[in-house]
Amino acid sequence: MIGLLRRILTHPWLALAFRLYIGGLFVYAAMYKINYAAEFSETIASYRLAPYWAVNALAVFMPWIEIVCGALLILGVRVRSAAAVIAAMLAVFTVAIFINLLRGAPISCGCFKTIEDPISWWTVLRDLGWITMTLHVYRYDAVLQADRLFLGKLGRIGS
Amino acid sequence: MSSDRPTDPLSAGPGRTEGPAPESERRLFHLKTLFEAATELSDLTDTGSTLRRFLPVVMGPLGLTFGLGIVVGPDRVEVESLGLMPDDRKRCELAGVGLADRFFQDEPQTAPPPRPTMLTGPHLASDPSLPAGTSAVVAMRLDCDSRGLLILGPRLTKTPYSQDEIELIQGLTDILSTALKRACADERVQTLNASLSENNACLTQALGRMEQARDELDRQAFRLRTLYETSLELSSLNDPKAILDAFLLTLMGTFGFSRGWIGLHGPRAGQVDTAYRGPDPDEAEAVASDKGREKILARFVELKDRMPRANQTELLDDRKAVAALPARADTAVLFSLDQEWHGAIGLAEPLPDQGLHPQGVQFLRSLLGIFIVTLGNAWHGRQVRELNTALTVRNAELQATLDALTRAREEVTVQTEARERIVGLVRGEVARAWRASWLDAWVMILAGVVLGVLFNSASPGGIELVPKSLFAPPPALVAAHEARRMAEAGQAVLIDARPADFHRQEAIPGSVNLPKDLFDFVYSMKLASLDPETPLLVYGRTISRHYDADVARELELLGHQSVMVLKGGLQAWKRAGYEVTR
Repeated sequence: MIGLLRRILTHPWLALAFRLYIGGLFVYAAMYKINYAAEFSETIASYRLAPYWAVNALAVFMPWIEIVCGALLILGVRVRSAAAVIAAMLAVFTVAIFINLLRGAPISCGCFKTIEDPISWWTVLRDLGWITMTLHVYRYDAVLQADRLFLGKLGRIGS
Repeated sequence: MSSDRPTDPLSAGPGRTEGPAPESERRLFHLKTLFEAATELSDLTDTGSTLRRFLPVVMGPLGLTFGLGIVVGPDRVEVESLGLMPDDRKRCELAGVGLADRFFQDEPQTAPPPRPTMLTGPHLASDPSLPAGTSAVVAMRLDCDSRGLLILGPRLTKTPYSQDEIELIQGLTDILSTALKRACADERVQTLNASLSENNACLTQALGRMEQARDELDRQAFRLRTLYETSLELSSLNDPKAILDAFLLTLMGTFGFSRGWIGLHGPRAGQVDTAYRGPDPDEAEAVASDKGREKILARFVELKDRMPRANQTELLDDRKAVAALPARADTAVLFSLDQEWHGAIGLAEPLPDQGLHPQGVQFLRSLLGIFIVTLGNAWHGRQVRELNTALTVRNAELQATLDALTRAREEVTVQTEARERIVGLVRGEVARAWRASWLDAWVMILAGVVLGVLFNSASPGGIELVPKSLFAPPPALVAAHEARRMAEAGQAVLIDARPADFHRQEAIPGSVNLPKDLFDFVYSMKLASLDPETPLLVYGRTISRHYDADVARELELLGHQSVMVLKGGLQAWKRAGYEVTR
C-alpha cells in the first residue's frame, strides 16, 4: 500500500499534472497584474516589506517573471530551473504573508487580483501546497518535456 | 801405359864402353844425359808423356833392364813402364796406389814437396811388392795431392851404382820431379781451364737466361706498371663513358693498335654507351646502333657455354665471330656487367711489330679484369646515384605527403577537439537542461525584467519604475507634539494618507483618511471647503510607500499653503504616547 502510494506520489504523470497546474496558475495570476501594474504596485507596498524605491520595479518585473516561468513549466523547458524560481517566489510570497499575518495587516493577498479576501493562514497553507507541488515537479517531472524532445537527441551526440 | 821408344843414341856411352872412361868424359856424358833429359822433358805438359820420355833417358845411360813410373793423384793412377814384363806391369798398375802409400804414408800432407827420395840396395831386388830385380826406387812428392814413384830395374852389367851414377839418378829424378810437377801443374791448369771454359759456357748460358729473365722482368714490370696505372686511372673515374674512353686508349697504347671501339648495351634499345678511336665515324655509329647491339648480343648467343656471365670477359678466338661484330676488329673481347648489360671491345690495325701476341693474352685478361671491375663499380655507382636521385625525389614527395598528413592530422585534431568541445557543450547544455542552474534562473529573471520594462514602457497603464518622491524636495516636517498641539487647538487638520484599510485599523483621532488612489473623491467630499491657509498635517509613511509625501505634494498642488508632514509618522505619534484609534 505504501509502495503503491509512493509510486503514485512519485509518478511522473502526477508531476506533469502539477507542472501544468502551477504553470497555468502563474500565467493566469500574472495576466491581470501585467495590465494593472499600478494596482499591483500598491499591493506590494501594502505588504510593507519592499523598499519604496523598488516597489514599482517589482510590480513591473515580477508578473513577467511569473509568466516566463509559468510558460516554461507548461512547455517543459528548463523545468527544474523554472520550478526553482517559482518555488523561490512562492517562498517569498509565503514569508511575506506570514509576516503580515503576524503584523495583523488588513491586506489582501493580491495574488490574482487587487481586491481579494484578506490574507489568512489558509493563504499560507495554500502557498505551502503550491510550493509542495512545485518541489514535486522539480523532483519527479520527466514526461512531455520539450527539452527532452529536442535535447534528448543532442545528448546522444558523441556516444 | 807402356812405351817402346828406341833408346837415344846419346845414352849409349859409358854403359856400353868397355874399360874405365876418363873422368871428364864420364862427367860430360852425365851432363849430356842431364841436358838431354831436361831437353826431352821441357816441352811436355802431361805426366804420362813425361814418364814415357823419361824412362829411356834414365835407362839408357845406366844400362837398366826396365823402368817403371807411377803417378798417383787424388782421382787417378798413371803407370808408365819400359822393359817390364806385361804381368809385372799389370801387377804394378794394380798395386800402384799401395806402392805410393808405402813410400809416402809417413809424410805430412801439408808439408812442402821435398826433393825426390831415392832408395838403393840389394834388398829392393827381392822386395815382393816391387818387380823382381829392382835396383832403385825414387819417391817424389809432386804437390799436395799427387805423388810419383820411379822404380828402376837391374843394370845389364849387374853392377851396383857408383856414386856418380847415383848422383846422375838423383839429378835425373830432380829433372823428372820438376817435369812431373810442371806436368801436374799443367794438367791442373788444363783441368782448371776446361772447368773454367765449362763454367764460362754455363755462365754465358746463365747470362743469356738472365737477359731473357731481365727482358721478361721488364715486360712484367711494364705490364704491372700498366696494370697499376690503368687501375689508378680507371678507379679515379666514376662515369662509365669516361671509363670506356680511358680503357680503350690504354688498350690501344699498350698493344699497339691504331683503331678501337667499345660498345656497352643495356636491356632495351637506346640504352648504350660507346667509345671509339679511329678515322671512320660510321663505325662508332654502327657500334651504337640497334643493329650493332643485335650483332654483339648474337656473339653472346654463339658462345653458349662460354658466354661471359656477370663481371666476366671472353676473348673471341673465332675469326668469323670477330668479323661479324658491328665494327672492324682484329682482336675482340665480349664482356658482361650483369644479366642485362653486355658489351664488346674491338681492336684493329696493329702497328708494325705490335698487336696481341700469345704472351700478351694473359696481360690482356688482367687489364680486362681491372676494366670489368672498375666499370662494374662505376656502373653500380651510377645506378646508386640514380637510385639516390629517385630516392631524394621520393623522399621529397614522402615529406610532402607527411607534411600534408601532419596538417591533416592537426586539422583532424583541431576538429576532434572542436567536436569534443561541441559535444561537451551539448552534453553540458543537455545535462543543464535536466537540472536547475543559476544561469537559467538568471536568464528567466532577466527575460522577465526586459519584457516587463518593454511592456511597461509601451503600455498606457505603465508606471514609473522609480517613484517621483525619491527625487522630490523634502516636505516640511512637524514634530509629533507640535502636531498634537496644533490639532487640539483646532489650528490644523490631521490627514491620514495611508490606504483605508490601514486607517480603519489604526489612526490618530480626528484625522481625515485621504489615500492617494481616492484623493480627488475624498478631497472633494471632506476638504474642498477648507481654508487654503489652514495647516494640514499629513502622516502615513511605510517602508514601501511615502504616502504622506505624495498626498502632501497633491495638496500643495491644490493650493494649500501650509502642508506639513508628521515627522516619524504614526510610529512617532505612538512613541510620544498620544492616543490612537483602533
